[in-house]
Amino acid sequence: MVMKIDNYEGASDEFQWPQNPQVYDDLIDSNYSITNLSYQRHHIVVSGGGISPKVIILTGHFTGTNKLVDYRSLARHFQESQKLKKLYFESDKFALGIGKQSKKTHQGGRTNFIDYVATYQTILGIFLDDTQQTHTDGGAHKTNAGDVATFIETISGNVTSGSTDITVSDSLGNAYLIPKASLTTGQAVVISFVSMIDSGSGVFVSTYNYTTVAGSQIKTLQVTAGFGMIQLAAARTTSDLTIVNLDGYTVKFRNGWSA
Amino acid sequence: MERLSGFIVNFTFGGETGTVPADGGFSYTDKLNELNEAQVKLIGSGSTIRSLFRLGAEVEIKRNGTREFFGVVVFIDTLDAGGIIADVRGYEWWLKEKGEYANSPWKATASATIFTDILAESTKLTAGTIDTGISMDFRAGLTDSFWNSLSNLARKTGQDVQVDYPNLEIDILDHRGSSTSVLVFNDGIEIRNLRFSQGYPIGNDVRVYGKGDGVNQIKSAVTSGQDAASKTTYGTIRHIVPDRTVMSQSEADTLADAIVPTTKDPTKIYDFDVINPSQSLIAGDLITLNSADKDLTNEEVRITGIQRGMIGGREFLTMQVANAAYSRLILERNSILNKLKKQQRDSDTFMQGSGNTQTWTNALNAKSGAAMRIVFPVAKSFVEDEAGNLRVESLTLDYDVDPYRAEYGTATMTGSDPQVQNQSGSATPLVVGLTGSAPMDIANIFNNDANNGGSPWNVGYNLAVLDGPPGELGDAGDEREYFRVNIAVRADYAGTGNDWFGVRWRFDKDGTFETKLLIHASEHFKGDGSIFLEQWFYIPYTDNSRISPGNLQSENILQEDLGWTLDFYTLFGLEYTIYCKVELVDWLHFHDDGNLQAASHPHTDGTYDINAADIDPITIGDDVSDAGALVASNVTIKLDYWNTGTSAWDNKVTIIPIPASLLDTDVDLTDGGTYPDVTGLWRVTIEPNGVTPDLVQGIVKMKHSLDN
Repeated sequence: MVMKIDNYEGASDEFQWPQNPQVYDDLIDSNYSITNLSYQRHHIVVSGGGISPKVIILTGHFTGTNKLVDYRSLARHFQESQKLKKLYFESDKFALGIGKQSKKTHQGGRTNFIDYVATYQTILGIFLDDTQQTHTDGGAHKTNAGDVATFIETISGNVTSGSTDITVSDSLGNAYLIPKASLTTGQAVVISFVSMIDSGSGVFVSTYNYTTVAGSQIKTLQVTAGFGMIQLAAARTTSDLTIVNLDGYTVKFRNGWSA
Repeated sequence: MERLSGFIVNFTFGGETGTVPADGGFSYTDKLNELNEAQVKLIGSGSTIRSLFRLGAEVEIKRNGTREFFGVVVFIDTLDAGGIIADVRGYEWWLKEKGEYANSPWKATASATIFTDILAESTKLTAGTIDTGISMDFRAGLTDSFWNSLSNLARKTGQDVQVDYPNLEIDILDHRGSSTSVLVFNDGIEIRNLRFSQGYPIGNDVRVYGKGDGVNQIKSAVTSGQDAASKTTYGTIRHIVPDRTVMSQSEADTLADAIVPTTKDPTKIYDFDVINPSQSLIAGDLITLNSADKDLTNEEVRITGIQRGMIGGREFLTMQVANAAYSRLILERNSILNKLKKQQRDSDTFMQGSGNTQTWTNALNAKSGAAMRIVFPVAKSFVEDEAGNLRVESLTLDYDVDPYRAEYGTATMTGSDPQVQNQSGSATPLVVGLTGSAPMDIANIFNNDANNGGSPWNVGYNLAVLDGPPGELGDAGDEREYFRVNIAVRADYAGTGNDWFGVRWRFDKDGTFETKLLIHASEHFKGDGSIFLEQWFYIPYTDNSRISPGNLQSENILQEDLGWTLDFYTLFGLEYTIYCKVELVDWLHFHDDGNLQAASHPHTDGTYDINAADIDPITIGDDVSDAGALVASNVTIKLDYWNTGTSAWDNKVTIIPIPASLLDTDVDLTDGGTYPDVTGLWRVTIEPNGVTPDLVQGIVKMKHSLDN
């Protein structure tokens, strides 16, 4: 399997490793906090379950006539930290995140090689399928075939009635609404799980539940339950989702994997 | 494993509400009887989300679906990459508005009514549950905010102020939270990092100092605010509580009694972290603490403050509790300073020592055109502050009009009446009036109404000769007599021819006729039978010179027994009828005085004077008396200012009571606060409308602030 890295949003800019990294460190770290009690022999654990986002360390080399070009391609992706990247370890699964560091080594005896170490910061603790699944309102429901709960990437559709709120909820206790005051019948609504947004000075910030109505971002999405991030549990179908007042909606997600 | 809280942070601005991902963390408080606050941080944001972060934006923080905090953004820090820190005050922050407090001061009023009155003025929050409380006096000033008034009153009633964020109401509760322990916290199990602090009691002899200053300042009674048990254990600890809003001793006593339970015991403060922050506790709840190594066993404490939120992605809950009696939050430094400032402001606002009153009074008989006056100074040194502003708060008049008051008894003089001596000056008066009537003596001595014929003398024919008897009216030597002869002649002849007619008077004088030609041959043409001649003659009886100027007698001789003759003649001897009457008239006669008299006339004093020996002492008796009835029916009140430029009184205000009133109090002289507008000499005049005097009394009262 050839490792590659590509943009998550916008135009594709794929880079394939000519040679996969020889070593990478992919630590699965459970998401919890632990509090020590002074002089006690027990600790306090606070956990919401799941896997913490992680830093993935890649160690490898480039060789051949394009070794420098290859390294530069790698470095470019890792420097574009204002863009979310998909880092593929398998041909069909990627880690969503941003490049953190890259460095190359100069070894006098290995003039035919460029050795590098690169670190990649994921924003999710899980891996996502390369293949995006789509469920359309009224169509066949799709299943999260992965082994962990996954995030719904986009929900899009047209406003059924401008006098009713749009509500979305899952079976894991998460829900949000878009108030009718922000809606007009027939307008196109797109709710994205995450997007990098310019803060105004060329500095980008990850924005969750990024929502547009008729192409313009709105600020009136209100979380009404849970963390407000719509998810689909492993082995569950999109029938677990409840979407109101959105005509012809489509739900897109990727299977979620722990590794 | 217990479930942690689910938080939702919503911002509302411009009518739009959005959920904000407080990725930088957030916190909010729930404090007992204090203002709450919150803070929300974003590490980065786009402009769309940032547009919700505006001053005045409303922030809602829900925990597990329930609104636990609602407030207003009052401060914003904006950082790189859209980082934002918003400081939020609880919605009760709007109670910083000042009220009119139209019903202040409340006297012997149910505290629930006072709370309701105060909250009725707020435009942001309404009254929720108001527990009964007590009956009391209370005062709120125009510079006091609603929150401070509520807090002040709650402190005196011993009640708690609760902000109901879901309904945006203010509740006044006898005890906020559970009055029995709702949870047991065991150190090392439910809580950690417990710190227990204790201090000496603040006071078990509480004295409240209220309105006023000096010896007349309102003070609580020495029997109020006392706790004997605490004194026994810790000695007498006097705690002075200044509160200038207290305006009666009963209120001061009530406050002292409400304070001492909170100050009589050692103050105990407990700080700790709650391991499971997802606790549904509120400030005011009682909980029980156990901590063996801090000697706490079933220690019942009251939550005075809670702070919770998310920091570093982790939920936290910090709690501050105090011994149940001392249930006031130990404040953070800034809050303490603000409380001190508030106390000082109350002191400044309600300070009474700088007020002063002056009165001026007068009582005087007065009438229309002669008003009673009260002159008074508006002294620069008294009523002007250091900024030169006139600090007169009120200028009023009390007045009363009563029947005239006479203040002297009867005047008496002993001794004889003074006599006038010497003479007045001369005077020549006119004579006025009329003499008595006195007819002239007239004697008819001849009356002949017809005669004709005769021979003329001189020319023509003498028609007649009439002889008369001597005429004399008897007064020998009287030279005022005269003959009055009336002659009328009628031509009896027919035709139209002309003729001449004459008349001659003759009288005997010593045998000689003295003659006077009365009518000389008067030509006439009358022949139609009409009288052509009719005439009176007056012939002096005694003055010869008048009879005949050519035959003068040098002396006036009284002609006694004088005979006389009237000759009538005509030229042609035609026929005539002659009517003749001769009378003797004595024009000289006497009148009696009639009503003649000297006209009234002045005399100069001349040498008139009073005999000094006749002037005796006059004594005036001591007595007062009131007239039987009032004369006036109304008054005119004026306020005047002495204009030093024109040296005249300028009238500033004129008041005529409607309806008419002869007695009134607190009459406003300021014309709605306009006057006095300058320092100097002023006066009030009260003029009754009676034409005779009444007794007018007035008191001018001025209240002003006094700069020291």
